[in-house]
Amino acid sequence: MFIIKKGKKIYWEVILFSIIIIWVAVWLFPIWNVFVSAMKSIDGYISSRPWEFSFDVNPIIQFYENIVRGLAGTQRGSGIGPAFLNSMIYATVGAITAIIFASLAAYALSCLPIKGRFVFFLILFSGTVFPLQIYLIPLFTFFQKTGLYDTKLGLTLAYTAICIPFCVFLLRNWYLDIPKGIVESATIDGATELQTFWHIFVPFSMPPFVTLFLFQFTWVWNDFIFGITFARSRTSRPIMALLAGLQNMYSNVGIPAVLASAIIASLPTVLLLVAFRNTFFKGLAVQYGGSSK
Amino acid sequence: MTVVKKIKPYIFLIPALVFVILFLIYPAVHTIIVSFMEWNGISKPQWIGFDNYVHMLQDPAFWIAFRNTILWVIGSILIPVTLGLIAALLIYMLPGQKTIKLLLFLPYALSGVVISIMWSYMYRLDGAINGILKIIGFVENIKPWLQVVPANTFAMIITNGWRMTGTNMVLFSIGMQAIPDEPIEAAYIEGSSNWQIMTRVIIPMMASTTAVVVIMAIINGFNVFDIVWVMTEGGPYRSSATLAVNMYRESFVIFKFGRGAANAVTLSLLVFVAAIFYMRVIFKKSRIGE
Repeated sequence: MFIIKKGKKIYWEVILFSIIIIWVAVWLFPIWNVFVSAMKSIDGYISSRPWEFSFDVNPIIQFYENIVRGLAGTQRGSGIGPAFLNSMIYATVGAITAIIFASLAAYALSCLPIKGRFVFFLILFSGTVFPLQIYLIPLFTFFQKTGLYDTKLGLTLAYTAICIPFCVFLLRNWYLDIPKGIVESATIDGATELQTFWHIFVPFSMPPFVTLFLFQFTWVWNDFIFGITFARSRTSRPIMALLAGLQNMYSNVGIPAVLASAIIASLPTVLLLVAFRNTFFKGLAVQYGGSSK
Repeated sequence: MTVVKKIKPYIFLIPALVFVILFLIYPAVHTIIVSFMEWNGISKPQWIGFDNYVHMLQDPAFWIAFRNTILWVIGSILIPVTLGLIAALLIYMLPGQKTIKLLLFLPYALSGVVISIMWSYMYRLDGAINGILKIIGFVENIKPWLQVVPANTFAMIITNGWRMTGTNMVLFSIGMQAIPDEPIEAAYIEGSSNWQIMTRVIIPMMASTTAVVVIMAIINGFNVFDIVWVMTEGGPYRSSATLAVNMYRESFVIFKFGRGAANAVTLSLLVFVAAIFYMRVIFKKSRIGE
C-alpha cells in the first residue's frame, strides 16, 4: 500500500523517484562501460575514456568484429565459440536430467510408503548445504581414474548431481500439497505408482519444473569452479572457464574482444531473466523463504 | 503386500540417490579422509593425522585468508543487505516501478566471471573508477585498485555488493508485499509520520525475511571464490585470498590434496554453522516433519 501522506505526496514522490533513477544509473554504469568498450578497436580503447564512444572506427562494425574475434579467437588461442555449445549442453541436459530424477524421488518421498523418509530426504538435501570445495578433490581424482576427466559426459554428470538436491527440496514441498485422496483413488482404480506419477503429478508439476529449469540452467551456465576443475581442453571446458582464460591473455585478443565475449556469454541467462522475470522473483522467494507457492 | 510392492516405492529414489551419493556424499566423506593424509593425487596417500591442520593453522597465509573471509562476510552483510533493504523500501513507496526492479536485479543473471571481468577493467589504473576520481578531483587517490592491499579486498567486496543488492532487494520486496495493510492503515489513521510507519511498522515486520537474507549473505561471504579468483587470483602475494581460494590453490595449483582438503573441511564447518540457521528457517516453513 501507498504510505506517503497526501499533502506532501508529489514532493516526496519527486525526491524518491530521483534517488532511484540515480541509483539505477550508477548500477548500469559498469554495463554501459562494457558495451561501449566492446565497440572499440584496441587503439580506440586505449585512447578514449572507458565510458565514451570512440569513433576512430565504426562502432557497430567494430562490435561485430570484436564478437567474431572473441568467438573464434586468434592464432594463438581459440575463442569461446565452442564453449558456448558445450555450456548449452551442460545447462540444458544437467537441469532437465536433475529435474526428472528429483521429481521421481520427491514423488516417492511425499506420497509413497517409505520407511525412513526423513533420512532419505536429508541425504538428498545435504547437497545444498556445503561449499563446492568439499567435493572437488575426490571428484577430480575419480574423474581422472575413470577417464571422465575433461569429457562432456563427466561434466554433465557432475552438473546433474549438483542440481538434484535443490530440485528434490522444491518438488517435495510442491507435492505435499497434492491431496492424498487423489493418490489413493488412483491406486484403487488400479493405476501403478508410475502411472499415477505420470498422469497426475507430472501435469501438475509444470510451474515448479519451469522455475527449476530457469534456476538450474542459470546456475550451470554461470558456474566457474566445476568448469576449471573437471575440464582442461577447449573441447569440453564450459563457457565461463574459457571466458576467464580469454581475459588472462587479453594482450592476445584485446580487451574489447574480451568484453564483447562477456556480452555474448551473458546473453542466454540475461534473456531468460528478462523473459521470465516474475518466475525468477517467485522462485527466489521459494529458494530463500521456503514457502511452496 | 508382496515384497515387490514393498520395494517398488524405493525404486523411484534410486536415480537421485545414486547421483547424490556417488557425486556428492562420497566425495564429501572422502575429502574429510584426505584431509588427514599427505597426497598429491599420484603417489600412495600417507596417513599423517592432524598434520595438515597443524600446518594450516601455522601458515600465515591461512590467517590472511581467514581475515579476508571475515571481511567478506561482514561486507556481504553491510553493503548488499543494507542497500537491498533501502532499494526495496524505495520501490515499495513508488508502486509500478517494475522496470527499475528488473534493472537492479540484472546482475543476478550475470556470472561471477563476467562480473569480475567487467569490474577488473574498471579498477585498472586506466579504468573507469580512476577516470571518475580524476574528474571529481581526487587525483591523489588514483591507484591500481586490485594490486594494493587492503584496497583490493574492499574493491572486490564492493563488486559483490553491486552483484547481490538486486537479489536482496527482490527478497525484501517479496517480504514487504506479504505485510498486511491493516497495521499500516492503523498507524496512518493514528497520525504516525511516514518515517514512523517505516521504522516502527514495516521494518519490524520484515524480521524473518531479514534473518534469511543475512544468513544467505553470510554463507555467500564464506563461499566467495569466482570474483577473487578471476580478479586477483588471491594476489598479490596471496594478500586478497579467501579460504575458498586457498583451498583451490593448495589443491589444484600446487597439488597438495591433503592441505587442500583440510582447508575445504574447515570452510565447510564454518558454512555449516551458518547453514544450520538457514535450515531451521526453511524447514519450519516447508513442513519437513511431514
